[in-house]
Amino acid sequence: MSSTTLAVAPRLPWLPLLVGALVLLAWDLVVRWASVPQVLLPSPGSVAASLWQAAPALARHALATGGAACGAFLVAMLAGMVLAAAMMLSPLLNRLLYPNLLLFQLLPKVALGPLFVVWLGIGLPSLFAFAVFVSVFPVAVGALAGLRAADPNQLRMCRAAGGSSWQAFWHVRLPTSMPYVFAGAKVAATMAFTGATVGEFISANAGLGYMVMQAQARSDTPLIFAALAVLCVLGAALYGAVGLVEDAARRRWGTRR
Amino acid sequence: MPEAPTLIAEAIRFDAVGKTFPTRPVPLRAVESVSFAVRRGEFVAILGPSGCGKSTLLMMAAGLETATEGRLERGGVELVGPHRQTGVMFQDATLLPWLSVLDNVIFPATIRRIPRAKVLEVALRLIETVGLKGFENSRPHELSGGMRQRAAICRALVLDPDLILMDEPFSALDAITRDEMGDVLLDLWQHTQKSAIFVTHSIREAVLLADRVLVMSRRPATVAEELVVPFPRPRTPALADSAEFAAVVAHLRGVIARNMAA
Ligand SMILES: Nc1ncnc2c1ncn2[C@@H]1O[C@H](COP(=O)(O)OP(=O)(O)O)[C@@H](O)[C@H]1O
Ligand SMILES: [Mg+2]
Repeated sequence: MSSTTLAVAPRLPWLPLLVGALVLLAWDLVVRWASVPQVLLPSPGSVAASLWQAAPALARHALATGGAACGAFLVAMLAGMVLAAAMMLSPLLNRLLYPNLLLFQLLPKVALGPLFVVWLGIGLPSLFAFAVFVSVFPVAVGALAGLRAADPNQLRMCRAAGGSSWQAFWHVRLPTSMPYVFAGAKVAATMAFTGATVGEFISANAGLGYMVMQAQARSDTPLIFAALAVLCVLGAALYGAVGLVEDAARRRWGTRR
Repeated sequence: MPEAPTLIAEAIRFDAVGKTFPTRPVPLRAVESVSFAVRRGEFVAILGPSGCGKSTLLMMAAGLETATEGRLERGGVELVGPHRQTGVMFQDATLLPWLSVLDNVIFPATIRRIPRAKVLEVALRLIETVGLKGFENSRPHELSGGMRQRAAICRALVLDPDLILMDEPFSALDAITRDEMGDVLLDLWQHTQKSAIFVTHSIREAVLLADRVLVMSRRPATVAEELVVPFPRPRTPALADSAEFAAVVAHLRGVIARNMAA
C-alpha cells in the first residue's frame, strides 16, 4: 500500500538534467572558441533564436506530424490488439500469421517507405499508412505474448467455474496481457513518430520531417535543430502519456505478485 | 425429508472409470477401473502415492478431463463438463492477482452471470467464517499462503455447491498453518451437509475430516483399500489427540505400507 503512494509522487531527475545542461554549455563553448561554421553546428543560442522566429511555422508543422503520429499510434494499438486477439482465439489464424509477423518484426521496416509512396502517392495517406505499418508489429507481438502468458492454473480455475474460452480470454488472459501491451505500446509510440517523420522525409508537403528537408535544402541548420527539438518533445510527450495511462491502469488493477 | 429435491442418494458415482493419456511413444494409463460413490453429505478422503493418478481422478470429477473408459454420474445424471453445483479447490489458491479478495470469492458468480448483489451477503459471511474479515479489499499478494487458501475455500463455497473437490489444498502450506486449515474445514463441515472428495497426503487430515478413506494403488490408480472412519460427528480438533484417533492413523499407515509393498 505504501508502495502505491511512492509511485505517485513524481520527482525531477536532477542529475540527468545537470548532465544535459553541461552538454549544452560545452556545445556553446566549442562553437564559440573553435568558430565552427553555423551550417555545420549552430550554437544553442542560434537554435533557440530559430525556435523563437519560426515558432508559428514550427507549431503548424508540429501539429501535422503530431496528429499523424498519434493517429497512427491509436490505429496501430487497435489493429495490433485485434490481430493478437484473433490469433489467440483462432489456432489456424495463428499458424498462418505468426511466423510472418515475426519476420516483419525483424525486417528493417523503415526501408519499405518508398513502396508506400509507389502505392499510395505523395501525401498524408501514404505517410499515415507507413507510420501504422512500422508501429503495429510491436503491439501485436507484445499483446499476443501477454495473452499467451496467462497462468494455466488460473485458466483451469476459470474453466472449473464454468467459464467459456471467451470468458477465460476476458477474465484471465486480457488482464494478464496488460503489462505486455503497455511495453508494446511504448515501443509503438516511438515507432509512430519515426514512421511519421521518415514518411514526411519522402512523401509530404507538411510536417516536421518535411520542414527538416526544406531547411536542409536552404542550408538552414539552426532550423533543422529547432525542428528536431520540437520532434523530441512531441515523441517524449506521447511516450509520457502512455506511461501515465499505464500508471493509472496499474493503480486501478495493480498486480504485484 | 418432506422436500427432498431428488431421490438420488449419491452426489457422484464413478463406474469403472479409466483414463489413458495419449502420450508418445506409449500411452500413459493414469486411472484404471475406479468404482465408488460419494453419498450426499459424505466426506471422502483419498490417500495414495504421488503420481498415481489422484489429480486425474479429481479433474474428471470436476468435468475438466474426460474419462476414456467407464462413466461418471453426478446426481444421477451423466457428467459431461464442469457442474454448477461443484466447488473446486486446487493445490495452489490460484486467486486472480488483479482482483480483491472479495472479487476473487465472487468470481464463480461472475462467470455464471449471477448478479453480485445476490451472492454478496453469502460471500461476506464466508469470508468472516474463515477469519478473513477486514481483508475483503486486499489484493492476494498482501495475504499469507494460508490466508489465500482460506479465500480459495470461500470461492469454492460461494455458490453453495453440494459437492466440493479438493486436490491437496494444503500441501503447499507449512505444518502449523496446515493443521489450522484442517480445523477450518472441520468447522465449516459441522454446519453443512455437503459432499466432499479430499485428496491429501496427510493421514491425520484424512482421519480427522473424512467419513471414509480410500487408499489408491500405485499407477494406474485404482481403489486398493477402503476404511470407514469410526468417529461420529460433530468432531473437534481435540479428537486428533485421542488414543483411538492414533490407533486409526496407525492402522491406516499399515494399510498404506502393505499396499506400497504389494
Ligand atoms: N495431461 C496429461 N498428459 C499426460 N500425462 C499426464 C497428464 N496429466 C497427468 N499425467 C500423468 O498421469 C499420472 C498421474 O498424474 P496425477 O493424477 O497428477 O497424479 P497424482 O495427483 O496422484 O500425484 C502422472 O504420471 C502424470 O505424469
Ligand atoms: Mg496431484
